[in-house]
This record gives sequence, structure tokens and C-alpha cells, in this order.
Amino acid sequence: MELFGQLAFGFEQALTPQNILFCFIGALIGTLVGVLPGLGPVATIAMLLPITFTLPPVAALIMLAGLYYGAQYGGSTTAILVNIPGESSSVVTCLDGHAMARKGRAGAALAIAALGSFFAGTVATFIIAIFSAPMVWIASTFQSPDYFGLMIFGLIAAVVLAQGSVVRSIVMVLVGLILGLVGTDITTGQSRFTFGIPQLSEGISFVALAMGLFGVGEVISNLARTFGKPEVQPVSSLWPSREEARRAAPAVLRGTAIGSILGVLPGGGALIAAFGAYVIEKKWSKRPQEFGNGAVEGVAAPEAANNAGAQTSFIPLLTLGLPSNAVMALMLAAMTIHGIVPGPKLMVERPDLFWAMIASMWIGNLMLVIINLPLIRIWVMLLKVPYRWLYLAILVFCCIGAYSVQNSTFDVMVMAFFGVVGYLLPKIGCEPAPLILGVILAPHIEENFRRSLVVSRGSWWVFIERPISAGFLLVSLLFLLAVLLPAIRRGREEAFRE
Amino acid sequence: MSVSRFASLSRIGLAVVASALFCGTAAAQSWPTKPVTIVQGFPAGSGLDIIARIIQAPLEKALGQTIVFDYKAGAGGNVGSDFVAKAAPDGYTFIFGTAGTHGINAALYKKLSFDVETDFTPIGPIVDVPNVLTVNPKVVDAKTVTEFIEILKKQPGKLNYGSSGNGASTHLGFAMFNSVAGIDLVHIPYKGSPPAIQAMLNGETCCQFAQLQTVLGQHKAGTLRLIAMSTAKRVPLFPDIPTIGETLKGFEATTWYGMFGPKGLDAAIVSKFNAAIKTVLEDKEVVDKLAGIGNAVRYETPEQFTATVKKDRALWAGVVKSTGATVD
Repeated sequence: MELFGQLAFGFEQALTPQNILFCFIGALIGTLVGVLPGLGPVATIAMLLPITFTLPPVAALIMLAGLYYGAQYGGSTTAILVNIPGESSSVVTCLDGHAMARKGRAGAALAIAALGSFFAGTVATFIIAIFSAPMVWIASTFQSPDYFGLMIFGLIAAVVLAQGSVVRSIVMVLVGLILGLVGTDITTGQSRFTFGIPQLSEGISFVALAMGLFGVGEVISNLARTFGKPEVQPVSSLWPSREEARRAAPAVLRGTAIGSILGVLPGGGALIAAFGAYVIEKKWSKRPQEFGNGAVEGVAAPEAANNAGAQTSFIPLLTLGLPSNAVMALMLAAMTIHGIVPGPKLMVERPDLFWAMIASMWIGNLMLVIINLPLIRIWVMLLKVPYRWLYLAILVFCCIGAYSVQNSTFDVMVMAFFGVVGYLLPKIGCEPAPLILGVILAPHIEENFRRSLVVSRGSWWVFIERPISAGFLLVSLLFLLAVLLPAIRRGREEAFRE
Repeated sequence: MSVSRFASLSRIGLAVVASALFCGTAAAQSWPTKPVTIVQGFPAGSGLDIIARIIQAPLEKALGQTIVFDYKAGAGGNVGSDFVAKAAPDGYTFIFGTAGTHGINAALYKKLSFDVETDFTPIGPIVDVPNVLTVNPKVVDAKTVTEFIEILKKQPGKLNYGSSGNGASTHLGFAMFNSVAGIDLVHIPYKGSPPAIQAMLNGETCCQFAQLQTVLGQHKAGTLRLIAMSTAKRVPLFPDIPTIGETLKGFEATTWYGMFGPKGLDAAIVSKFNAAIKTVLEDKEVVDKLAGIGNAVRYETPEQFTATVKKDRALWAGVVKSTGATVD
């Protein structure tokens, strides 16, 4: 009952006209930022930070938080319509979302993304309110070997993610791993694969790489294939059919669960969560062949997961004072400048701020769904714009986006390079998705693997002694067997047939 | 590219006009007439950025111009330094550097495309940023530096200390402490300070040198214990916490944040900017805000700051050499 009292207190704080206004402004800007490819919440919050100094801290933080999850909503829009991840966490949405759009189901995909996100956001709000303490416990018991186990699990999932040939997807994962290792090695400080280019010292910009592979690659192949007339079928209906809704609902539930848990972990939890949710849907689906060709679950689950993850990534910040990603680091900066010290005592020292932020998350999600649903009609009209004009706008926004992450022209070149790669990969029967996952996971796997061994002074048992890492490794092994065994059997059958 | 080319062209044009009129410092006299860009070698929201944002508005007021922060992160701040080292010294591009970017890095990186002393014009420091010896009391239940050393001497090579990265001041400061105190801990680097602190909380590491502002929340909750400061003097925010130097005579590992311009900056601009910084650092509100997160304002003239940079570069070069740390 105390919880309801606290939540009511939070709503009381968050529902002042001023805070509602700033929540709305944040959600609106966030939607815009999400829709514009590449221009991410980090660059936007950095630009808005000085404005927030003159606001009361609660209003300022509510606005910035609204901007962050607004971007998660908006990010799926371009992913679905033009195959460009508006936000890095909507990379996965490209896979089936854009395929749905091609089949004339753009409206349905957008509606499912928005409603799925809203549901996930609502659940995640309550999870933050109720489970902050145990969630922090999860995050703070995770040591290096446990992260390693989790990441290996993700890597194995990458192979499952493959649609075509297992061999090709393993190759793609390996290429991704190598690309992910570019930069300075955390353990020794040596730089690898950088060719002496200082801009590569922190690794290849993920935003530039993802936008190149998906967005620019798609633009090139559209232009090459149709001279600027992509084969998009006319939009049949703006709303999901009953069948689509029935299939999306359980996927949203599973996606929410995965996103809520993985969002708490540091290092891009929302992105990994979206991938994880997608893999699990595909693995348990009765129609795995539909994935990649416009499966509703392939939109619903990752969208729910990335929104839930975006919200639970506030937990480490609010309860430990430790930011888990670049946006949270900016939120921490904003709090510090306002004289607020985030940490285990925040809930006691500033309950007004803590509960108001939580309440505002739900209000913000409600606003976002209200902003986004009517917009679907307008977004879908965007598909009627002749592609020879649309693609110019897309490329310009991609360049701005790639540049704005680190204010680096080098990253624009990186995007152009991976644009060509993204165009060529499907030509040789390879897919970019496993490659992207390799890029995300490589630094985490290596860093935690080597750190585990340093901590254990070289003993490999460390991965089995800790129950969490042992559990993940065991599940990975089972996963691998589940994928490989049928493949091996099939291989044998084919051999016998010959 | 085109912007800097334009800038250098206009500089040539300006020089021609100026020499014709025999008033070389006319531009410097009226400086600044347009927004001033201050580069940071780290991403938005970093510890450096927090200080930058606190001084932004008062500094804008003192200079009478808008300040634009340009985040050029990468290579431990070297990407930003490189950019400013090669920028036109027209008074509109500066870098907010640190004892790391303009001291440690010079010794740490084997090849740098610039020299931290000759390629920059030091303007003045802004703050001293104390590193504090922090322990997880569940792993090492020490309350003083003496107790800490005693406990660790009993288990050489067993425990780990964390840092926010290879060659960061949090790493080198502790390495220095290790050798001065005669104890043996294994260094575990993390990618930035949040995961390093998380590792200290879950016991993967026992302790570390942490920037004060990053551990305030944990200190309040009692989950981490602040034992001693690495600064020469006690920190005003925590008058009860001693310095390491009080136990180990002469120990000091202070880091500062300060402003630099490209080399060849007009002396009139340097003194004008330095005076503006002085005004800001005398503003009580700024002092209190900085002190509230554990940083002490530090004012020096450009000449004093030039000497500080030289001295600290040599100091850290010695530490880097003795610890054998290196980054390519």
C-alpha cells in the first residue's frame, strides 16, 4: 500500500501544469529526434542542457527523460518506412518493420510499434517503482565472468538470428567481431586495427556503421534496382488486423520482460534487449520463415523491449548514481549541476524528484502514444513522396546524424563506406544483422573475458564457479546444440540422398 | 575543413590590412566579437563537461560572448587536442584541457601529432579535481591510510584496484601510491568511471582512486568509504578527511582542468581571457557550486600556468615510466 502512496505522491508532483508542459515538450522533441535518422538523444540533450539550468530540477529532468523515451518511439518510424534506424536501438525493427511496409502494412507496423512501446513503458514504470531494489541487486552482483556468459549467450543467439546459410551468418558474426574490436584495448591500452587514425581509437562509431549498413545501403539498392521507384505496395489499412493484433500481443509481453531485465545492465542494454527479444520470438515462433519478410512479432517484441529497456536503464542511475549509457551520463551531469547527488540515498533525500520522475514516465508514455497514433496517417503519406526526392532528404539527414554523434566528419565517411558494404552484402547472400550484433558484442566479450582472467589470476574455472556465468554458458551450449543438431542431421540426410 | 581554410584565409587578409594600418592588435583589442568555441576532448556529460557547464554562463557574461562547446572525443582527449593544436590562433577556438590531456598523455602515448607545451598557449587553470582513495569496506575494512597499508601488506598480490582506464589519473595516481606505500595490488582498468565504481561495489576490486564527485552518492549511503585525498591540502567539502600526504610525506597526485588556446595566440587575448576566468572564479556562486561536488577553484596567471604544465608533465612522465604504462 505504501507503493500506491508513493506513486500518488509522484503523480501529485508530476501533474503540476509546469511539469506536464515540460513532459510534453520533451516527448515532442524526442519524437522528432527519433524520427530524424541519426540525430540522437545524446546530441539533443547536450544542446538542451544549458536551457535546463534555469528550470527547476524536477521539470528539467522530466523533460530530458521524456526526450529520451520519445526518441525510442520515434526511432521506429524511419526504420519501418525507409529501413533507416532513427535510433540505434531500432536497428532490429528495420528487419521486419520495413518488410511489413513493403507489403503495404506500414500503418499496422507503426501502430503495433507505438502500442507495444506504450504497453512496455507502462509495465516498466511499475517495475521501476516496485523492483528498483532487487533490480539493482542483479546489476551489482554481475561481475566480469557473468557479463562474459551473458554476451556469449548473445553471440550464440546471433547465429540463430541468421535467416539463410548458417556458415554465412557465422562469417558475418566474425566480421562483426573484428570490426567491434577496432580501437584501444581496455586491458592493455594497445590500439588495434586503427591504422594510426586517431578517430578510430574509440572504435568505429556504431551509429555511422548501422546507418551505413541499413540506411545508405538501402538507398543505393533502391536506386540501383528501380531507378528511384521502390516497389512499395499501396497501403491497405492503417490499423493492425485482428490476426496481427493477436500475434503481436504475446510478443509484446515477452519483449517487455526481456527489455526490463536487460535494460538494467550497463552498456547499451536497450539495444541488446531488442536483439534478444527478436531472437527469442524467431526461435519460438511457429512460422520462423516469416521473420525477415514482415513478421508482426518481429516488430512488436523488439519495440517493446527497447522501450522497456530504455526506461529501466534509469534504475542504475536513480539508485546507484551510475549511468549505464551516454544519455544517462548526461542525465547524471544535469543532476550534478543542479546540486543533486544521485546514489542510494536519492530516494530518501529527494523523494519528490524520484517519484515525480517515475510518475512522469507513465505520463510521458501516454502522451507519446497520443502524439504518435494520429501521426501514422501522415508518416504513411511520406511513402507517396517520389523516391528521387525522398532519398536526397534521407541521405542529408543520415549525414547530419553520423556527424552529430562525435562532431566528426570522419564518421560521415565511415557511414558512406558501410553504405557500400550494406549494398554489396545482400548481393553475395549475406545479411547485415549478425554482423551488427557482432560489432555490439565484441568489445564486451573481450573486455569481460580478459578481465575475468586477470581477476582470477589466470584460472579458467572462474567461468564455471560463478553460478550466473555458468548458467548462461550452459544455456548457450543448449542453444547451440538445438541449432546445430537439426542442421547436422539435415546435412547427413542430404549426403545419404546423394 | 572549409571553415578552417576560410578562417586562415581571413586571417591572412586581416594581417595584410592590419600591417597596412600599423595596428597589429586591433582585432585583439575588440576580442571577442563572435561566439567562442571551446573544444572538449571527451563526450558530453563527462566530469569535465560538468565543470564546463557550471562556468559556462558566468564566463559568457565575463567575455560578453556566447560560448559553444564542441565535443571531439577520442584517444584519451587527443583528438580534441590535435584539432585545437592545428586551429587558427584567432581567439575563437580553445580547448578545455586536463592534467591528463596536457600532461599524462604526452608521456603515455608514443606518437602524438602535437606537443602539449609548444603547440598550445596556456590561458589558466580552472579547478583542482581531487582523486580520493576509496574502499569498499566489505572487502577492505580500513578507516585510515595506515590501516589500509597494514591490511594490504598482509596479502600481497591478492586484491585488485580499479581505474577509469589505462593511463588515466585514477590509474597512475594509484600506481604511484602502490610504490610509495610499498604494497602490491593488481590493476584492473574499466571503460570509464561508472563501471569501475560498480566493480568496486560488487567486490571485483577492493578500492580505487576515484574523482570525488563520482563517489559522493555512495559515500552518503555508506556503501563506499572515502579514506584520504590525493591533493596537497584537505578538500573544503570534507574537512575531516585527511590527505594521503599527511601519512606518506610528500605524496600528491592532483589533477586540474584548464584552458588552452592554439600556439601563437595574441598576448592581449590571453590576458583578456585570463582576466575573464579570474572574474568567474571569484564569483561566490561558482565557487560554491564547484566546492559542492568536491572541486576547489584554482586561479593562476598564464605564466604560472605555463610553469604548472611543464612541472606536471615531468611529474607524470616519471610516474608513467616507473609504472611502465603505455598506450599506443
